[in-house]
Amino acid sequence: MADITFGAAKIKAVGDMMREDERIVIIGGAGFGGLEHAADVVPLIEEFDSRVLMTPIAELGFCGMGVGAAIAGLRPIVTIGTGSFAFEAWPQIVNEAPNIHYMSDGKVNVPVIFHALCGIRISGAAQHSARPQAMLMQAAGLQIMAPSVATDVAPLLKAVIDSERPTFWIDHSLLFEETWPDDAPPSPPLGKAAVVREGSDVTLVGYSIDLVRCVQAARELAEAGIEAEVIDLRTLAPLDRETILNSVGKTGRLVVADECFPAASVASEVAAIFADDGFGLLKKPAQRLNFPAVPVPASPPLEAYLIPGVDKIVAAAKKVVG
Amino acid sequence: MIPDQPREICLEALRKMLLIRRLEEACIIAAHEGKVPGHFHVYIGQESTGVGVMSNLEEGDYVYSTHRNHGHLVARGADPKKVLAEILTKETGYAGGKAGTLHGCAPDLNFPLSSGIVAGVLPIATGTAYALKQRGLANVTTVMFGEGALEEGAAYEALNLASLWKLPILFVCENNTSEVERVPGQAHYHAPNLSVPEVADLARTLSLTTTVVEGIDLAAVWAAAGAARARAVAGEGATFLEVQTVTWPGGQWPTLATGITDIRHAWNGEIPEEFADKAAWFERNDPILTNVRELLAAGIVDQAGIEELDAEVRDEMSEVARFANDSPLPKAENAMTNVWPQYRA
Repeated sequence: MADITFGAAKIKAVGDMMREDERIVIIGGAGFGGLEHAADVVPLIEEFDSRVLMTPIAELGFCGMGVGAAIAGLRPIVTIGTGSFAFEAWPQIVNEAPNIHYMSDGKVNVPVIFHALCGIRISGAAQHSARPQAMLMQAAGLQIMAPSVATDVAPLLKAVIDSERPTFWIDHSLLFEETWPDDAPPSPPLGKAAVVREGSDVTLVGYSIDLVRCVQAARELAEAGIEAEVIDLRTLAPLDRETILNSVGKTGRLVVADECFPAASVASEVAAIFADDGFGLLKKPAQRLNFPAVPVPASPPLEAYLIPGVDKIVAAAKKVVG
Repeated sequence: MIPDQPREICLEALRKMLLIRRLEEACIIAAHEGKVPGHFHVYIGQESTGVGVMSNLEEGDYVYSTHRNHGHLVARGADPKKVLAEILTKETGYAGGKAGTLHGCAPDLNFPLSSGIVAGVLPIATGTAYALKQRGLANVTTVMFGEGALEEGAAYEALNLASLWKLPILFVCENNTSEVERVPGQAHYHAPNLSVPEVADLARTLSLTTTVVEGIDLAAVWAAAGAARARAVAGEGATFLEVQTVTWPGGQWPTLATGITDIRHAWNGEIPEEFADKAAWFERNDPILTNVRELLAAGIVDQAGIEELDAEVRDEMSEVARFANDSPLPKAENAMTNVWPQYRA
């Protein structure tokens, strides 16, 4: 059994898809790895030179280009770089791309993928650490991917391209070095969450880097005799309510880890499932672990204090199980 | 002036301009009857731009527009019945009532979108031009917008990217900055909200090939768009075409005043009393009346021929209006359909 990093899986998946499908182009100079892993993306960019459009610092312009190129037959992957830069292109990402299919009553498809490294990445500070996913969930018509498992990347990427839906793909800077066994179980279909660890005492829900933290927390909880079930959301839109309801139906306890700010967050949406459809399932109050509503500071100890890290997930689980 | 084209093509251009005028008049009548929900923007006074530009386009070319899209759709060849039905948000419109007046489209004619954000469509059109080039197609993208689009940053980014990569795109800026009557050739078409003396200066600064023409001059618009398209397919890059128009000075909805243009104004000079203060617009700025006068002077058609053509268009528009008015509003549950493409793994 070999291990594969998320970053390597990502770059391989994009390369394989580009070899298979000539319509795929990369728009944006950022690659997929951020500054830390820029070198890893270089072979990909060299191989597909004529299909990589290195752009000026014009997020609004080139995200819009991704929309227009998608309408006219290409399958662009638009690399925005840091998630905070998505705000520079917000009008195209939330007000153009997701509306066009509906505004044409289904006659125009916009198969564009916007890609960004989102989240608290160590000293990114206030303007390079955004987690735009919760805000993006307010854009009806936009599909949102946020996988955390290396072996999930290729099947999800293929599904996204086949779906022809405008998609925002959330990656996390700190996810690239995370390793997973490459013989992990097959990925569920697009739109389904995955149970990555079974347990009967408490349900831990995460996605992207938060899922990695949930898995680590589950290991620590096991040492304390608590069996946690861990659910990887994988996609935020669509959101798989059923898998979460089934798990909590079994455990009666819910902890959600989410780097977004608390208000109207991914964690809020997961908790709200139980206000709507799972009112009697919870034996203890749902535990929402978010980044508090303060701007992201630069200094690592300040940052660490605010992140919904492993220790906080463990403490929240013990609180509801105890 | 009259385009350097055969008689039939010149008359077809007039027919299209009339079709746009009559459709906008039908739209205004419907609005006064309370049948157009929301506000809307008409193309009266700018018909020669849409027709002059679109007459040059090929089937595989793309067109994008903004809030003022009715005329662009008709000029591209869209079915007027489906255009007006969509403006009235009817089930039979191009988008089943989901687009309305703001987001007019005719996807079967490669007219995928009108954005309601003034510069929103410029980056999108630029991306379509990139796709055409990347796919090796000898086609162009045309994007129609007003000078107000240049007040937004998206326009600047799009113009820069298109210029940088020599993309096959026509940026058609319909400058309708002022609602006062002006004398063609003597007016200064600056835009009060832009710091540059001339709108086209922005494009020149970004090294775009730039052409400035008067919208009243159908031949000039036609030739400029034709040259721009030829340059684009030859790989010579983008063109910024500023068309200086004088939109109908009768205001904006809901204070929009208009009547039914009497085509005989072209030769009898009689202006309805209620529009006496706008006589100069009818004399100098109406591109349809101007075109009719030129066609008559050139002996291409006589007054009877014009009246016959206009009667045909009005008959067609009566049928269009009847179709749109009689069409049902969409079923309420259609609100939930076509949010994104269906997909099953």
